Amino acid sequence: MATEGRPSTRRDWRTFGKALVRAPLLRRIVLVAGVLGGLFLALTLSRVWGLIDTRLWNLLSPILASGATNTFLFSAAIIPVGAVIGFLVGWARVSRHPIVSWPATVFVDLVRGIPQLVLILFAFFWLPYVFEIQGSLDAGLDFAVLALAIHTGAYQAEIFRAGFQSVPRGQIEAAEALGLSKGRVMTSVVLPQTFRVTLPALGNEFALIVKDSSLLAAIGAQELVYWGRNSAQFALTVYAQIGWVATTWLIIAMLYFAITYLITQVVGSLEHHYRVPGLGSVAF
Amino acid sequence: MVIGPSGSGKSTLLRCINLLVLPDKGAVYLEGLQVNRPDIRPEWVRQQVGMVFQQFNLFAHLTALDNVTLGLRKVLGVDPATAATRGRVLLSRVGLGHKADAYPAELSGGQQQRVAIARALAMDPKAVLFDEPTSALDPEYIKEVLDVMTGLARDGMTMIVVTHEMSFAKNVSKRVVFMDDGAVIEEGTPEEVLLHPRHERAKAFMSKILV
Repeated sequence: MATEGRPSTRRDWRTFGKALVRAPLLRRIVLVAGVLGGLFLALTLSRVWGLIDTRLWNLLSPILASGATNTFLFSAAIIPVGAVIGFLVGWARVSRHPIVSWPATVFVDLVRGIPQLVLILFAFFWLPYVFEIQGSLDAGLDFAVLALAIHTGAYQAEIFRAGFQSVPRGQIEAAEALGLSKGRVMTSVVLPQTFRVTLPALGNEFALIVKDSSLLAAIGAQELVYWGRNSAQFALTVYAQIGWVATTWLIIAMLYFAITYLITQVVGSLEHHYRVPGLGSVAF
Repeated sequence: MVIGPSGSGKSTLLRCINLLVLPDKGAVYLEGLQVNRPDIRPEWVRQQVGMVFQQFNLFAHLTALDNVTLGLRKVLGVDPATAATRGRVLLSRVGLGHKADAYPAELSGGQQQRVAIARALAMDPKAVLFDEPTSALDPEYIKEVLDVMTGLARDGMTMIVVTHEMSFAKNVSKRVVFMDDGAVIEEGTPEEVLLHPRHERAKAFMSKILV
Protein backbone atom coordinates (compact mmCIF):
# COMPACT_ATOMS: atom_id res chain seq x y z
CA MET A 1 0.00 0.00 0.00
CA ALA A 2 2.64 2.44 1.07
CA THR A 3 4.47 2.35 -2.22
CA GLU A 4 1.41 2.57 -4.44
CA GLY A 5 1.37 5.65 -6.61
CA ARG A 6 5.01 6.47 -5.96
CA PRO A 7 7.32 6.72 -8.97
CA SER A 8 9.08 3.51 -9.82
CA THR A 9 12.78 3.47 -10.45
CA ARG A 10 12.55 0.55 -12.85
CA ARG A 11 13.02 1.59 -16.46
CA ASP A 12 12.13 -1.15 -18.89
CA TRP A 13 9.31 -1.86 -21.30
CA ARG A 14 6.94 -2.57 -18.45
CA THR A 15 7.37 0.92 -16.99
CA PHE A 16 7.17 2.61 -20.39
CA GLY A 17 3.38 2.77 -20.21
CA LYS A 18 3.64 4.33 -16.77
CA ALA A 19 6.24 6.82 -17.91
CA LEU A 20 4.05 7.77 -20.86
CA VAL A 21 1.09 8.34 -18.58
CA ARG A 22 3.16 10.27 -16.08
CA ALA A 23 4.63 12.56 -18.72
CA PRO A 24 3.34 16.11 -18.32
CA LEU A 25 0.12 16.84 -20.15
CA LEU A 26 1.87 19.37 -22.36
CA ARG A 27 4.36 16.80 -23.62
CA ARG A 28 1.58 14.39 -24.53
CA ILE A 29 -0.40 17.04 -26.37
CA VAL A 30 2.76 17.93 -28.23
CA LEU A 31 3.08 14.22 -29.07
CA VAL A 32 -0.41 14.05 -30.55
CA ALA A 33 0.04 17.37 -32.33
CA GLY A 34 3.31 15.98 -33.69
CA VAL A 35 1.61 12.86 -35.05
CA LEU A 36 -1.14 14.91 -36.64
CA GLY A 37 1.34 17.47 -37.96
CA GLY A 38 3.44 14.63 -39.35
CA LEU A 39 0.38 13.26 -41.13
CA PHE A 40 -0.35 16.64 -42.66
CA LEU A 41 3.29 17.18 -43.57
CA ALA A 42 3.61 13.75 -45.15
CA LEU A 43 0.50 14.32 -47.23
CA THR A 44 1.50 17.84 -48.19
CA LEU A 45 5.04 16.77 -49.18
CA SER A 46 3.62 13.85 -51.16
CA ARG A 47 1.44 16.37 -52.90
CA VAL A 48 4.30 18.81 -53.52
CA TRP A 49 6.62 16.08 -54.78
CA GLY A 50 3.88 14.68 -56.93
CA LEU A 51 3.80 11.38 -54.99
CA ILE A 52 0.11 11.75 -54.45
CA ASP A 53 -2.48 12.05 -57.16
CA THR A 54 -4.11 15.47 -57.35
CA ARG A 55 -7.53 13.85 -57.40
CA LEU A 56 -6.81 11.82 -54.25
CA TRP A 57 -5.46 14.95 -52.59
CA ASN A 58 -8.68 16.74 -53.43
CA LEU A 59 -10.64 13.88 -51.84
CA LEU A 60 -8.53 13.90 -48.68
CA SER A 61 -8.24 17.64 -48.03
CA PRO A 62 -11.84 18.21 -46.82
CA ILE A 63 -11.45 15.24 -44.46
CA LEU A 64 -8.41 16.83 -42.89
CA ALA A 65 -9.69 20.38 -42.88
CA SER A 66 -13.44 20.30 -42.37
CA GLY A 67 -13.98 16.74 -41.12
CA ALA A 68 -11.36 16.61 -38.35
CA THR A 69 -12.20 20.12 -37.17
CA ASN A 70 -15.94 19.48 -37.01
CA THR A 71 -15.60 16.11 -35.29
CA PHE A 72 -13.40 17.78 -32.68
CA LEU A 73 -15.83 20.68 -32.28
CA PHE A 74 -18.87 18.40 -31.97
CA SER A 75 -17.06 16.34 -29.33
CA ALA A 76 -15.93 19.48 -27.52
CA ALA A 77 -19.55 20.67 -27.43
CA ILE A 78 -21.13 17.34 -26.43
CA ILE A 79 -18.66 16.49 -23.64
CA PRO A 80 -19.23 19.49 -21.33
CA VAL A 81 -23.00 19.69 -21.97
CA GLY A 82 -23.34 15.94 -21.43
CA ALA A 83 -21.22 16.09 -18.27
CA VAL A 84 -23.39 18.85 -16.81
CA ILE A 85 -26.57 16.89 -17.64
CA GLY A 86 -25.04 13.71 -16.23
CA PHE A 87 -23.88 15.42 -13.04
CA LEU A 88 -27.25 17.02 -12.34
CA VAL A 89 -29.29 13.92 -13.18
CA GLY A 90 -26.90 11.68 -11.23
CA TRP A 91 -27.20 14.01 -8.26
CA ALA A 92 -30.97 14.00 -8.56
CA ARG A 93 -30.97 10.20 -8.61
CA VAL A 94 -29.39 9.98 -5.15
CA SER A 95 -31.86 12.49 -3.69
CA ARG A 96 -33.97 11.29 -0.79
CA HIS A 97 -36.98 13.11 -2.21
CA PRO A 98 -38.86 10.93 -4.71
CA ILE A 99 -40.10 14.04 -6.48
CA VAL A 100 -36.48 14.74 -7.45
CA SER A 101 -35.13 11.21 -7.89
CA TRP A 102 -38.09 9.72 -9.74
CA PRO A 103 -37.99 11.97 -12.85
CA ALA A 104 -34.22 11.43 -13.00
CA THR A 105 -34.69 7.66 -12.97
CA VAL A 106 -37.35 7.86 -15.68
CA PHE A 107 -35.03 10.05 -17.77
CA VAL A 108 -32.12 7.62 -17.51
CA ASP A 109 -34.25 4.54 -18.25
CA LEU A 110 -35.96 6.20 -21.19
CA VAL A 111 -32.86 7.65 -22.87
CA ARG A 112 -30.80 4.49 -22.37
CA GLY A 113 -33.50 2.54 -24.18
CA ILE A 114 -33.31 4.54 -27.41
CA PRO A 115 -30.48 4.26 -29.97
CA GLN A 116 -28.43 7.43 -30.46
CA LEU A 117 -29.27 7.46 -34.16
CA VAL A 118 -33.00 7.44 -33.44
CA LEU A 119 -32.54 10.28 -30.94
CA ILE A 120 -30.56 12.26 -33.52
CA LEU A 121 -33.15 11.80 -36.26
CA PHE A 122 -35.96 12.59 -33.86
CA ALA A 123 -34.24 15.77 -32.65
CA PHE A 124 -33.27 16.82 -36.17
CA PHE A 125 -36.68 16.42 -37.77
CA TRP A 126 -39.11 17.03 -34.96
CA LEU A 127 -37.66 19.55 -32.50
CA PRO A 128 -37.28 22.41 -35.05
CA TYR A 129 -40.94 21.81 -35.88
CA VAL A 130 -41.93 21.95 -32.19
CA PHE A 131 -39.99 25.16 -31.61
CA GLU A 132 -41.22 26.58 -34.94
CA ILE A 133 -37.81 27.18 -36.43
CA GLN A 134 -38.43 25.12 -39.53
CA GLY A 135 -36.42 25.58 -42.65
CA SER A 136 -33.19 26.01 -40.69
CA LEU A 137 -30.89 23.02 -41.00
CA ASP A 138 -28.52 24.60 -38.47
CA ALA A 139 -31.21 24.54 -35.79
CA GLY A 140 -31.84 20.87 -36.54
CA LEU A 141 -28.12 20.18 -36.22
CA ASP A 142 -27.97 21.98 -32.86
CA PHE A 143 -30.82 19.83 -31.62
CA ALA A 144 -29.10 16.70 -32.90
CA VAL A 145 -25.91 17.64 -31.03
CA LEU A 146 -28.05 18.23 -27.95
CA ALA A 147 -29.62 14.79 -28.46
CA LEU A 148 -26.16 13.20 -28.27
CA ALA A 149 -25.37 15.27 -25.16
CA ILE A 150 -28.61 14.03 -23.57
CA HIS A 151 -27.77 10.46 -24.51
CA THR A 152 -24.31 10.54 -22.95
CA GLY A 153 -25.82 12.52 -20.06
CA ALA A 154 -28.03 9.55 -19.19
CA TYR A 155 -25.00 7.25 -19.13
CA GLN A 156 -22.90 9.76 -17.19
CA ALA A 157 -25.75 10.15 -14.69
CA GLU A 158 -25.16 6.52 -13.73
CA ILE A 159 -21.41 7.15 -13.44
CA PHE A 160 -21.99 10.15 -11.19
CA ARG A 161 -24.60 8.29 -9.15
CA ALA A 162 -22.06 5.53 -8.47
CA GLY A 163 -19.54 8.26 -7.58
CA PHE A 164 -21.88 9.93 -5.09
CA GLN A 165 -22.79 6.59 -3.56
CA SER A 166 -19.14 5.58 -3.23
CA VAL A 167 -18.59 8.18 -0.49
CA PRO A 168 -19.21 6.31 2.77
CA ARG A 169 -22.12 7.59 4.84
CA GLY A 170 -19.80 7.69 7.87
CA GLN A 171 -17.59 10.37 6.29
CA ILE A 172 -20.62 12.57 5.69
CA GLU A 173 -21.64 12.07 9.31
CA ALA A 174 -18.09 12.88 10.47
CA ALA A 175 -18.12 16.10 8.44
CA GLU A 176 -21.50 17.05 9.91
CA ALA A 177 -20.16 16.27 13.39
CA LEU A 178 -17.42 18.87 12.82
CA GLY A 179 -20.14 21.45 12.26
CA LEU A 180 -19.88 21.68 8.48
CA SER A 181 -23.06 22.87 6.78
CA LYS A 182 -24.78 20.63 4.21
CA GLY A 183 -23.28 22.65 1.37
CA ARG A 184 -19.77 22.47 2.84
CA VAL A 185 -20.09 18.72 3.34
CA MET A 186 -20.90 18.49 -0.36
CA THR A 187 -18.06 20.70 -1.62
CA SER A 188 -15.36 19.64 0.84
CA VAL A 189 -16.04 15.94 1.35
CA VAL A 190 -18.43 14.44 -1.22
CA LEU A 191 -17.50 16.17 -4.49
CA PRO A 192 -13.70 15.81 -4.26
CA GLN A 193 -14.14 12.06 -3.84
CA THR A 194 -16.89 11.75 -6.45
CA PHE A 195 -14.58 13.52 -8.89
CA ARG A 196 -11.72 11.10 -8.31
CA VAL A 197 -13.86 7.98 -8.36
CA THR A 198 -15.73 8.90 -11.54
CA LEU A 199 -12.77 10.10 -13.65
CA PRO A 200 -11.80 6.72 -15.17
CA ALA A 201 -15.37 5.94 -16.20
CA LEU A 202 -15.87 9.48 -17.49
CA GLY A 203 -12.74 9.20 -19.64
CA ASN A 204 -14.21 6.05 -21.13
CA GLU A 205 -17.50 7.82 -21.85
CA PHE A 206 -15.73 10.81 -23.42
CA ALA A 207 -13.91 8.45 -25.77
CA LEU A 208 -17.27 7.01 -26.83
CA ILE A 209 -18.64 10.49 -27.49
CA VAL A 210 -15.94 11.23 -30.06
CA LYS A 211 -16.92 8.16 -32.03
CA ASP A 212 -20.67 8.54 -31.50
CA SER A 213 -20.44 11.98 -33.11
CA SER A 214 -19.94 10.07 -36.38
CA LEU A 215 -23.68 9.36 -36.30
CA LEU A 216 -24.24 13.04 -37.05
CA ALA A 217 -23.22 12.19 -40.62
CA ALA A 218 -26.71 10.72 -40.97
CA ILE A 219 -28.21 14.21 -40.96
CA GLY A 220 -25.52 15.72 -43.14
CA ALA A 221 -23.23 17.19 -40.50
CA GLN A 222 -19.86 17.62 -42.19
CA GLU A 223 -17.71 15.61 -39.82
CA LEU A 224 -15.21 12.85 -40.55
CA VAL A 225 -17.57 10.06 -41.63
CA TYR A 226 -19.60 12.44 -43.80
CA TRP A 227 -16.49 13.42 -45.78
CA GLY A 228 -15.25 9.85 -45.71
CA ARG A 229 -18.39 8.53 -47.39
CA ASN A 230 -18.33 11.45 -49.80
CA SER A 231 -14.71 10.84 -50.82
CA ALA A 232 -15.05 7.07 -50.92
CA GLN A 233 -18.05 7.29 -53.19
CA PHE A 234 -16.21 9.70 -55.47
CA ALA A 235 -13.15 7.47 -55.57
CA LEU A 236 -15.28 4.51 -56.61
CA THR A 237 -17.87 5.97 -58.94
CA VAL A 238 -15.94 8.78 -60.60
CA TYR A 239 -12.31 7.61 -60.50
CA ALA A 240 -12.83 3.84 -60.09
CA GLN A 241 -9.91 3.73 -57.58
CA ILE A 242 -10.76 1.16 -54.94
CA GLY A 243 -7.36 1.64 -53.25
CA TRP A 244 -8.22 5.27 -52.52
CA VAL A 245 -11.23 4.12 -50.53
CA ALA A 246 -8.92 2.23 -48.19
CA THR A 247 -6.59 5.25 -47.93
CA THR A 248 -9.52 7.49 -47.08
CA TRP A 249 -10.81 5.31 -44.24
CA LEU A 250 -7.31 4.65 -42.93
CA ILE A 251 -6.72 8.37 -42.55
CA ILE A 252 -10.13 8.81 -40.92
CA ALA A 253 -9.34 6.01 -38.44
CA MET A 254 -6.05 7.76 -37.59
CA LEU A 255 -7.82 11.06 -37.04
CA TYR A 256 -10.46 9.50 -34.77
CA PHE A 257 -7.69 7.84 -32.81
CA ALA A 258 -5.79 11.11 -32.45
CA ILE A 259 -8.83 13.04 -31.20
CA THR A 260 -9.88 10.28 -28.79
CA TYR A 261 -6.34 9.85 -27.54
CA LEU A 262 -5.99 13.57 -26.93
CA ILE A 263 -9.15 13.65 -24.81
CA THR A 264 -8.50 10.47 -22.84
CA GLN A 265 -4.97 11.67 -22.11
CA VAL A 266 -6.29 14.91 -20.67
CA VAL A 267 -8.57 12.85 -18.40
CA GLY A 268 -5.69 10.48 -17.61
CA SER A 269 -3.53 13.43 -16.57
CA LEU A 270 -6.26 14.70 -14.27
CA GLU A 271 -6.56 11.23 -12.79
CA HIS A 272 -2.83 11.06 -12.25
CA HIS A 273 -2.58 14.54 -10.85
CA TYR A 274 -5.36 14.08 -8.30
CA ARG A 275 -4.62 10.48 -7.39
CA VAL A 276 -4.84 9.61 -3.72
CA PRO A 277 -3.77 6.29 -2.22
CA GLY A 278 -6.77 4.11 -1.52
CA LEU A 279 -9.25 6.18 -3.54
CA GLY A 280 -10.33 5.09 -6.99
CA SER A 281 -7.78 3.65 -9.36
CA VAL A 282 -4.20 4.71 -9.85
CA ALA A 283 -3.65 5.27 -13.57
CA PHE A 284 -1.98 2.12 -14.95
CA MET B 1 -18.73 5.76 30.06
CA VAL B 2 -21.77 4.27 28.47
CA ILE B 3 -22.01 0.49 28.38
CA GLY B 4 -24.73 -1.95 27.46
CA PRO B 5 -25.70 -4.65 24.98
CA SER B 6 -25.94 -4.10 21.21
CA GLY B 7 -29.02 -2.24 20.09
CA SER B 8 -29.57 -0.68 23.49
CA GLY B 9 -29.36 2.85 22.12
CA LYS B 10 -25.84 3.85 23.16
CA SER B 11 -24.83 5.21 19.74
CA THR B 12 -28.18 6.91 19.32
CA LEU B 13 -27.66 8.61 22.67
CA LEU B 14 -24.34 10.06 21.44
CA ARG B 15 -25.91 11.17 18.15
CA CYS B 16 -28.68 12.90 20.09
CA ILE B 17 -26.13 14.81 22.16
CA ASN B 18 -24.49 16.46 19.12
CA LEU B 19 -27.82 16.60 17.30
CA LEU B 20 -26.79 14.34 14.41
CA VAL B 21 -30.10 12.78 15.39
CA LEU B 22 -32.65 15.29 16.64
CA PRO B 23 -34.17 13.98 19.89
CA ASP B 24 -37.94 13.54 19.77
CA LYS B 25 -38.19 14.53 23.41
CA GLY B 26 -35.95 15.47 26.27
CA ALA B 27 -33.36 18.19 26.60
CA VAL B 28 -29.65 18.33 25.79
CA TYR B 29 -27.69 20.78 27.93
CA LEU B 30 -24.28 22.16 27.04
CA GLU B 31 -22.73 24.12 29.91
CA GLY B 32 -26.17 24.78 31.31
CA LEU B 33 -27.65 25.89 27.98
CA GLN B 34 -30.38 23.81 26.40
CA VAL B 35 -29.21 23.31 22.82
CA ASN B 36 -31.93 21.22 21.14
CA ARG B 37 -34.09 24.24 20.45
CA PRO B 38 -35.29 25.58 17.12
CA ASP B 39 -33.38 28.86 17.60
CA ILE B 40 -30.00 27.12 17.92
CA ARG B 41 -28.42 25.71 14.77
CA PRO B 42 -27.35 22.06 15.08
CA GLU B 43 -24.13 23.00 13.20
CA TRP B 44 -23.19 25.37 16.04
CA VAL B 45 -23.75 22.64 18.64
CA ARG B 46 -21.65 20.15 16.64
CA GLN B 47 -18.75 22.64 16.59
CA GLN B 48 -18.78 22.60 20.40
CA VAL B 49 -18.93 18.82 20.72
CA GLY B 50 -16.35 16.63 18.98
CA MET B 51 -17.08 13.09 17.88
CA VAL B 52 -14.93 10.02 17.24
CA PHE B 53 -16.45 7.09 15.39
CA GLN B 54 -16.07 3.33 15.49
CA GLN B 55 -15.04 3.23 11.81
CA PHE B 56 -12.76 6.32 12.12
CA ASN B 57 -14.51 7.95 9.13
CA LEU B 58 -11.46 9.91 8.03
CA PHE B 59 -11.89 11.82 4.79
CA ALA B 60 -10.20 9.48 2.30
CA HIS B 61 -9.10 12.23 -0.11
CA LEU B 62 -7.30 14.32 2.51
CA THR B 63 -3.97 13.84 4.27
CA ALA B 64 -3.91 13.35 8.03
CA LEU B 65 -3.10 17.04 8.47
CA ASP B 66 -5.91 18.19 6.17
CA ASN B 67 -8.34 15.89 7.98
CA VAL B 68 -7.44 17.58 11.24
CA THR B 69 -7.63 21.12 9.86
CA LEU B 70 -10.75 20.83 7.67
CA GLY B 71 -13.07 22.03 10.42
CA LEU B 72 -10.74 24.92 11.30
CA ARG B 73 -10.56 26.05 7.69
CA LYS B 74 -14.13 25.47 6.54
CA VAL B 75 -16.14 26.07 9.70
CA LEU B 76 -14.11 28.56 11.71
CA GLY B 77 -12.47 30.26 8.72
CA VAL B 78 -8.93 29.96 10.12
CA ASP B 79 -6.32 30.72 7.45
CA PRO B 80 -4.54 27.61 6.09
CA ALA B 81 -1.10 28.42 7.54
CA THR B 82 -2.40 28.94 11.08
CA ALA B 83 -4.64 25.89 10.75
CA ALA B 84 -1.67 23.78 9.61
CA THR B 85 0.42 24.89 12.58
CA ARG B 86 -2.36 23.96 14.99
CA GLY B 87 -2.97 20.72 13.11
CA ARG B 88 0.67 19.68 13.49
CA VAL B 89 0.58 20.38 17.22
CA LEU B 90 -2.52 18.20 17.56
CA LEU B 91 -1.03 15.39 15.49
CA SER B 92 2.08 15.47 17.70
CA ARG B 93 -0.16 15.29 20.73
CA VAL B 94 -1.60 11.97 19.48
CA GLY B 95 1.91 10.81 18.53
CA LEU B 96 1.52 11.22 14.75
CA GLY B 97 3.52 14.35 14.02
CA HIS B 98 5.55 12.38 11.47
CA LYS B 99 2.42 11.19 9.58
CA ALA B 100 0.99 14.60 8.70
CA ASP B 101 1.26 14.02 4.96
CA ALA B 102 0.02 10.41 4.91
CA TYR B 103 -3.38 9.56 3.49
CA PRO B 104 -5.83 7.49 5.57
CA ALA B 105 -5.24 4.41 3.40
CA GLU B 106 -1.56 4.57 4.33
CA LEU B 107 -2.22 4.51 8.08
CA SER B 108 -2.97 1.59 10.40
CA GLY B 109 -6.33 1.44 12.13
CA GLY B 110 -4.86 2.73 15.38
CA GLN B 111 -3.16 5.61 13.59
CA GLN B 112 -6.37 6.48 11.76
CA GLN B 113 -8.30 6.57 14.99
CA ARG B 114 -5.69 8.82 16.59
CA VAL B 115 -5.95 11.19 13.61
CA ALA B 116 -9.73 11.13 14.12
CA ILE B 117 -9.22 12.11 17.76
CA ALA B 118 -6.94 14.98 16.71
CA ARG B 119 -9.61 16.03 14.18
CA ALA B 120 -12.23 16.17 16.93
CA LEU B 121 -9.87 18.14 19.21
CA ALA B 122 -9.05 20.69 16.50
CA MET B 123 -12.38 22.43 16.99
CA ASP B 124 -11.42 23.01 20.65
CA PRO B 125 -14.58 21.24 21.79
CA LYS B 126 -16.22 21.49 25.19
CA ALA B 127 -16.74 17.73 25.14
CA VAL B 128 -15.81 14.79 22.92
CA LEU B 129 -18.10 11.84 22.18
CA PHE B 130 -16.49 8.46 21.46
CA ASP B 131 -18.64 5.82 19.75
CA GLU B 132 -16.90 2.48 20.39
CA PRO B 133 -13.52 3.94 19.37
CA THR B 134 -11.61 0.66 19.66
CA SER B 135 -14.19 -1.88 18.47
CA ALA B 136 -12.97 -1.89 14.87
CA LEU B 137 -9.28 -2.08 15.75
CA ASP B 138 -6.93 -5.01 15.63
CA PRO B 139 -5.95 -5.94 19.19
CA GLU B 140 -2.40 -4.62 18.84
CA TYR B 141 -3.66 -1.08 18.11
CA ILE B 142 -6.20 -0.80 20.92
CA LYS B 143 -3.72 0.30 23.57
CA GLU B 144 -2.31 3.25 21.60
CA VAL B 145 -5.80 4.68 21.17
CA LEU B 146 -6.80 4.09 24.79
CA ASP B 147 -3.53 5.72 25.93
CA VAL B 148 -4.39 8.88 23.99
CA MET B 149 -7.89 8.88 25.47
CA THR B 150 -6.52 8.33 28.98
CA GLY B 151 -4.19 11.30 28.47
CA LEU B 152 -7.13 13.44 27.38
CA ALA B 153 -9.09 12.43 30.47
CA ARG B 154 -6.11 13.31 32.68
CA ASP B 155 -5.99 16.74 31.03
CA GLY B 156 -9.57 17.29 32.15
CA MET B 157 -11.39 16.87 28.82
CA THR B 158 -15.08 16.07 29.21
CA MET B 159 -15.63 12.78 27.41
CA ILE B 160 -18.61 10.54 26.87
CA VAL B 161 -17.39 7.12 25.77
CA VAL B 162 -19.42 4.20 24.50
CA THR B 163 -17.15 1.24 24.98
CA HIS B 164 -16.80 -2.47 25.59
CA GLU B 165 -13.32 -1.99 27.10
CA MET B 166 -14.30 -2.71 30.66
CA SER B 167 -10.89 -2.30 32.28
CA PHE B 168 -10.57 1.07 30.55
CA ALA B 169 -14.02 2.05 31.84
CA LYS B 170 -13.09 0.92 35.33
CA ASN B 171 -9.78 2.78 35.46
CA VAL B 172 -10.51 6.03 33.65
CA SER B 173 -14.18 6.89 34.03
CA LYS B 174 -15.77 8.97 36.72
CA ARG B 175 -19.28 7.83 36.00
CA VAL B 176 -20.64 4.74 34.26
CA VAL B 177 -24.06 4.44 32.70
CA PHE B 178 -25.61 1.11 31.78
CA MET B 179 -28.20 1.21 29.01
CA ASP B 180 -30.63 -1.39 27.80
CA ASP B 181 -33.54 -1.16 25.41
CA GLY B 182 -33.21 2.59 24.89
CA ALA B 183 -33.15 3.54 28.56
CA VAL B 184 -30.56 4.19 31.26
CA ILE B 185 -30.94 1.34 33.72
CA GLU B 186 -28.09 2.02 36.09
CA GLU B 187 -25.63 4.76 36.70
CA GLY B 188 -22.97 5.48 39.26
CA THR B 189 -19.26 5.12 39.90
CA PRO B 190 -17.40 2.42 37.95
CA GLU B 191 -17.16 0.47 41.18
CA GLU B 192 -20.93 0.48 41.68
CA VAL B 193 -22.07 -0.22 38.14
CA LEU B 194 -19.37 -2.60 36.92
CA LEU B 195 -18.70 -4.61 40.06
CA HIS B 196 -21.90 -4.38 42.07
CA PRO B 197 -24.80 -3.85 39.70
CA ARG B 198 -28.20 -3.86 41.36
CA HIS B 199 -30.49 -4.31 38.37
CA GLU B 200 -31.09 -7.82 37.02
CA ARG B 201 -30.31 -6.95 33.40
CA ALA B 202 -27.14 -5.16 34.41
CA LYS B 203 -26.09 -8.14 36.52
CA ALA B 204 -26.74 -10.51 33.61
CA PHE B 205 -24.67 -8.31 31.26
CA MET B 206 -21.74 -7.94 33.66
CA SER B 207 -21.66 -11.67 34.36
CA LYS B 208 -21.18 -12.40 30.65
CA ILE B 209 -18.30 -10.01 30.11
CA LEU B 210 -14.89 -9.78 31.68
CA VAL B 211 -14.63 -6.90 34.08
